[in-house]
Amino acid sequence: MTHNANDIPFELIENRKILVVDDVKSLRDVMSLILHKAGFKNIEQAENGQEAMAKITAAPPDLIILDLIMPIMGGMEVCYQVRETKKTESIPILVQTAMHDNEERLKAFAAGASDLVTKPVNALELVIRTTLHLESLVLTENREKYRARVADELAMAKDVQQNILPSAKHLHQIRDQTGINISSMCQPSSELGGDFWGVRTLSDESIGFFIADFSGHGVVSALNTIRLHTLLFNVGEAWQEPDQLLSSINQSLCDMLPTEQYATMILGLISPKNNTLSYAGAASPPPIYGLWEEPDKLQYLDTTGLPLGISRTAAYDLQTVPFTKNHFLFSFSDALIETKLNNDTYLEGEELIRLVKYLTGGRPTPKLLDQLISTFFERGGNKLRDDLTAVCFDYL
Amino acid sequence: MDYTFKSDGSLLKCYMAGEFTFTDHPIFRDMIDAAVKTGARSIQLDLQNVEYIDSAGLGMFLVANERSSEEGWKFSISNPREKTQKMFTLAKLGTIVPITND
Repeated sequence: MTHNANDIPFELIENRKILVVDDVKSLRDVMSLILHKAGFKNIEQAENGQEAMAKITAAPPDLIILDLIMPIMGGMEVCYQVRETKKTESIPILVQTAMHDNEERLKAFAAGASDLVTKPVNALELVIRTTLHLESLVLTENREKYRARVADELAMAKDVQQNILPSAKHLHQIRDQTGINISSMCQPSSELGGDFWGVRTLSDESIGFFIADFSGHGVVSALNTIRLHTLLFNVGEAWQEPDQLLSSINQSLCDMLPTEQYATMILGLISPKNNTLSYAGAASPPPIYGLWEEPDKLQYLDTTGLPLGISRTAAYDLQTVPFTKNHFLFSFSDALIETKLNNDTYLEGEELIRLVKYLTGGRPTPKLLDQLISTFFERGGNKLRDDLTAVCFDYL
Repeated sequence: MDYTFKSDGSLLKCYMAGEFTFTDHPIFRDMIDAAVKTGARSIQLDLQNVEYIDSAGLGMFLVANERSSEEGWKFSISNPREKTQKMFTLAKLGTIVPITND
């Protein structure tokens, strides 16, 4: 065959099963012979709709060539039945109709015909249409295979990414060692995300932590989170100087990332001995910080800074605030404050502070993160178009 | 995202409108290509009608900025809305790209 525009080798369609349905034996034989001569090797016949349906149900063919007027069961009924059954609904059906009968042609399409072939049969047209529909079947199958493979791979990649997030067991260990309680959630908007966070216990029982968000989302951002994971994997006590560590990560990311990719991040150190939180910010959303008992004094911490990976010379300021047994820090990615809620508002600024005040009521609230995220989802935040991460640090 | 051009001597203003996100990458690139082709010495992106910019949008500004220094034209941004300005301030974008308000 030479009219193959899709580069599908004929071998891929020559063995596909074609069912020729016509009550006139000589016509069935002519069509079968035409197709056989064209190279198709798997041709079956049926002499009416009932016999056709029995064969279709037993072993669905890849293509049906169907006459309309037949005894016992006509072609229209075959069309309906094939289209009604899940297993057979997408089999291409070529209906034979007379060229001049417009009404019949429209009826055939309405009944579920994929295409028409003229009656009496035209050999070249029959072969061309048969080839065309079988090729498009192969294309559809290939696309479906590709989609399934990509979906599988994304699901596996998501597992890999989820596995490098701190585990519940790790967070329990941190609590046992340091007294610091960490609750968290990390939900990608598509299969893979650019949000990432981590925490390490240091030799003096303080903890180093970071919450990062790579620009964009999807595969590229997810790969970048793995880069960051590698950069921060084994930096030892460098966590003791958050501003220095952030600068050094920035320089590494400047070398790794193309211009349009960058990360926002907060990197901090909570020291139970000194009762302090030290941190450096690179444009991550300002986290909420304060004392459980003083809800009116809740505030956003300053995280102003050039995002990471943009300028090698960027400097990051070290900020230090008290962090006692009565303090908490609630940090989150921008999806929390940039997702439009049901009433067209955003959970940002004073509104977010108000919600935290309401949920805590001036008392230590171990489930603050869970309650806040549920409220966000209830108000319409579940229509995420970006990854959402939230992490809460306290001593509860 | 949509845009229109308005030339003011050697300054070409690109009025962007709507949301500027990840999916606008091709249209933004075309816009900068077309703007550069006019031969303008200075290209300004006006954001007064831009409702929302995501992180990928900010990344595209960085690319345009890099391109301007490679090709020798001036790049600036004007009239960001309050929300956008907050994002720019947080990210210190003003230290990289001139941001003006009319």
